[in-house]
Amino acid sequence: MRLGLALGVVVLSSVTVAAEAHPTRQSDPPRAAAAAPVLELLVLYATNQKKGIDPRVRDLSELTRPPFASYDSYALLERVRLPLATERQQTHRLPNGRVLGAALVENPSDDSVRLSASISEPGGRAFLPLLEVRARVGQRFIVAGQKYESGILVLVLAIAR
Amino acid sequence: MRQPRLEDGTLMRFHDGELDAEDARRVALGRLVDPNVNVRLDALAALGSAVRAWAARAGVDAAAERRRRARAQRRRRALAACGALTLAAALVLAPRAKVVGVDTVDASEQAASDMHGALGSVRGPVAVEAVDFGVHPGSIFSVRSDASETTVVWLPDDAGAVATGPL
Repeated sequence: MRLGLALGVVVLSSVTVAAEAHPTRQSDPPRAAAAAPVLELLVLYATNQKKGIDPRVRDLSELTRPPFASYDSYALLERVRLPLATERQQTHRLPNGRVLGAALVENPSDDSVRLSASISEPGGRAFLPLLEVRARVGQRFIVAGQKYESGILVLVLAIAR
Repeated sequence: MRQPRLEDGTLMRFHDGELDAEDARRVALGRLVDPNVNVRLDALAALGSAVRAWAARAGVDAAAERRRRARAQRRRRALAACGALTLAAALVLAPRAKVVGVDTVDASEQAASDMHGALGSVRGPVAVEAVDFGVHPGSIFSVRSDASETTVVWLPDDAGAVATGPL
């Protein structure tokens, strides 16, 4: 509670000072148009081969939490960037032969998007028919559980610009 | 008569024994008329088994963890209330300053979004607006780690996939 009050005093002081420093501001410069959104995809292979977590994904702290902690080894198989567009679905073939599809549903602001994703079997039948999410740039989410060799695939996805 | 589809949250609370009698009866009825309800409950059971086994292996005291989270939540609420009160006061006392504050936030967020490899630069769960698991049993949950929370869509090829491994 004391921390909150202290924070409040600091914010109030800085806001007041800032208002006094720019008393005649008329308008803001136009912001540069945001780059097209890109879906960043990490394809991880989770096993219990006692190899530990790939150093390149060691900062993904989720991997040390349940249920991901059920696997002691995570290997980074692929890192992919899929440019998102509303007109066309971008696809990427996963190591298990299935195909991940992603498309932009809506781009409501510079820092957030709505996207739809799906995963299809090699024959075209849907494994995950639809997943629609609203995500901010840099916010990650995980799709996991598909069998792959002696473990599972863990797909870590995030929106970038 | 066709039963409305049971929400994932409802099934999770049923699995955890947290539903009231009326909702529990609705789920029980759903199990009788829709085989998919049992499949989804099996998936939740497998997931729960995996988490419990991990907790036992890692020596995590679930009750103590719940108490710790409740305390942290109370602290966050108090802090948020103070922050909101202060912001409201600031907006009333210095309305022009709002523009300056927003600019500052935008600049820092733009810088974050320009970083190469945006994975994980923003914390908080992604909002799942629609999902169709098809014929496979799936579940949605979030994983907390330190100060972040990540949305997870778990879709195994079979309901027991989570429990395989060293558990």
